[in-house]
Amino acid sequence: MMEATGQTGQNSGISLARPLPQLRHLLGLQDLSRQDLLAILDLSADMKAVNARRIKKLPTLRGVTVLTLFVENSTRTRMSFELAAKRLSADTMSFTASTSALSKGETLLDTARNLEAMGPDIVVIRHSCSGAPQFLAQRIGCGIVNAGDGAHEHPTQGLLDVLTMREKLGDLAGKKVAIIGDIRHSRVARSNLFALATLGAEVHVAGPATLLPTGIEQLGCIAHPRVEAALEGADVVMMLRIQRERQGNDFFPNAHEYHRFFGLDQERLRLAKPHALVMHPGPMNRGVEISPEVADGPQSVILQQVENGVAVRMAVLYLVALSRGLQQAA
Amino acid sequence: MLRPPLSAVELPSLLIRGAQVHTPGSGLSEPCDVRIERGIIAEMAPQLPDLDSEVVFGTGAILAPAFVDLLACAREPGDEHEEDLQSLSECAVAGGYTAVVVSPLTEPSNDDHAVTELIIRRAREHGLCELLPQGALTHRCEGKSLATMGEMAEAGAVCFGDGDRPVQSARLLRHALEYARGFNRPVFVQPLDVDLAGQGVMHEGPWSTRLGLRGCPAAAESVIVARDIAVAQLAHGRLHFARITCRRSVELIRQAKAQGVAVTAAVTPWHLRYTDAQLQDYASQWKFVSPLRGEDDRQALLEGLRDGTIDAIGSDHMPENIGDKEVEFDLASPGSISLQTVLPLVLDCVRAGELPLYIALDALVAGPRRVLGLPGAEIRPGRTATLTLLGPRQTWTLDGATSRSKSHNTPVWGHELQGQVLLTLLRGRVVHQA
Repeated sequence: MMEATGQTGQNSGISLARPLPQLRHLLGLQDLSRQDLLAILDLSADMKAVNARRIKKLPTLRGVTVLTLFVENSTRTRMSFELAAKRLSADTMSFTASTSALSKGETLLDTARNLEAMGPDIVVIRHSCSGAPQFLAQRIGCGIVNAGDGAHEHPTQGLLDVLTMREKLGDLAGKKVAIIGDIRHSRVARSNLFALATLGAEVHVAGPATLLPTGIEQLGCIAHPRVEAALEGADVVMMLRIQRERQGNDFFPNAHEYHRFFGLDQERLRLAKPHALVMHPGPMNRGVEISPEVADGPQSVILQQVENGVAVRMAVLYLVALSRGLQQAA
Repeated sequence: MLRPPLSAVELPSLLIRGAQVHTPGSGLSEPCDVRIERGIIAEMAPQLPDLDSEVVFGTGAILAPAFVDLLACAREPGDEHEEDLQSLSECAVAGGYTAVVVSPLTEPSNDDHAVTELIIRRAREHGLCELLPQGALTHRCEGKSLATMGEMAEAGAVCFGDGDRPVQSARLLRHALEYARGFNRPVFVQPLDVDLAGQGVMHEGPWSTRLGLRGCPAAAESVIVARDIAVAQLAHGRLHFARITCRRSVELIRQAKAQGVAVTAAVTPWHLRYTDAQLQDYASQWKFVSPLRGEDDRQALLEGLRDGTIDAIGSDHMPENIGDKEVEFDLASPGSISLQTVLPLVLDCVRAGELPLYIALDALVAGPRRVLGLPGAEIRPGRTATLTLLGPRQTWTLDGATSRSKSHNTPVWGHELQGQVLLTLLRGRVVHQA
């Protein structure tokens, strides 16, 4: 318990055997080196150990203010970030589009500058427009953490996915990862692609060709317009959420047909390796991209992903604070 | 801040010494002296005496007929704080232009002879350069019914088009081309299939996929180029593609020209010089009405200029309030002020060995005049002295001191540029001096 509360900061349970990466912002995984990526993952594993304690709190970010600025709805990602901040003893405040001035015509930049004037140290932003976190990082002084921007990146989701894979499979070099579904509109797919490519995994993406974006293979993967080839011998099967508004919009005919040809059921899962991991970033459409028996089956690690999300976000907030001199290394 | 032209009155006599003279179709001469008297080129020779002429030293510079632009937006009437016709003209002459086709997309739009007359009156008032109104093709540029093209032609409209708004109806385009024939005016179109373009905000390709931005495929342009060529053939009209950006469009236009279809095309300096890789930081200053495309497309545009498929380089000058750019990329207004930066950008291509100098200059001098059906320009004794003196090696910076625009939305704001317009003359009068 003394260790958990870590009153003097002498023993916070964070191992510092490796040099920690400079992370003034976390905008995406595209430009992270292998070394930095591994350091973040290792730190996340340490944070996870903190979360397993009876008193799940470290004093490391005391006096640091984390603002969550969500210009697109997402309850669970926001909660995960807020919980992560609280476990590090940061103060949190939140701003969501529904209650915001943005709907009254104020620009994102004006909103961000107004919020900045209240003195947050780190801004966690979710936005429906790709590039919005970059836009803010170039214009305001706070550390920016991307909590998902348009169809670009969702770096903490990518990190938690890779953390989950590493826990189960160890080194990911040469492991076959199948990412299946709406690749075109998915920031989760892109963040995973960048991280997995850096770690040397063999990534296959699959889905109806309407949902495979132009030139996706140049991001370091193999693309398939049907799912079977991607599933064959896979170590990991990651299903992406199908947004129902895509149907009837010429991307695919309807949910029933989608499930029939692109959904993951028991039979199709047998194409993958026997103990292949089944992942999903949530929220799931049961019976569309994934059948309930697979989602709840023994190979599913979907809830571990959620658990790892808090640990990864703790690691990221900690590193951004550290890189900005807001916190001395413990 | 704005410097008045050196001399708004007619100089009795001006001698430009030692510049190389650009002649459309044949390129640069040996250095030569050119004397201008009462607005006319009086004499040209390797060595002329000073007499009582005011002397301008042009050693190392190029003397060319002044440029004509096919593609500029003013914001007058309506949004004069972004650009009015006076500031547009100041940008033009500082860019080497003495005539500019003005987009009808204003508030109200130029779909009526009263607006056409306003534009021409403004040009007469400031006397800096000619403003050539593009009359709207359709009422309020809405693409639904033909605008009063005859009355606008009578008032001075030099061509018709709906600015950068695509004409969606092939039937309407056919009728517009046919009707415009009677007034001997070309029809300018912005080729884009808005349905296929969808909500695209940049070129669809590996970069849009990487950035997660919605892509606009090149085919959204080329399908309409193909359609419009067929319509122009049907209507026996004169069709001009205001901005083309991709390889397939160049191929289609090359083929159409070979078959004798009366079609012309222009490209912007941005598309000649840059690709969609510029967008990797989501910098909205690089967002244009027609998106920057890939390297293969850029190469095709250069080839098209070299072999004459593409007739002209159009500035695509589009002033915007900077606040309309300082937003999320998806929401940012497209376009850039451009009139003053055409020359350095085009010269970048020349310096890179991608474009012979004489072709680049022809695309600014002769091509636009040909598209509009204006008489050719040439520097020889007896011709009007509407000229520009260019310093290809001079460097300068586009900033608050040098920009003549009321807006400063451009990706090269604050950049050092190479290639400067030293002097612009309109009928012998100095309308710009660097």
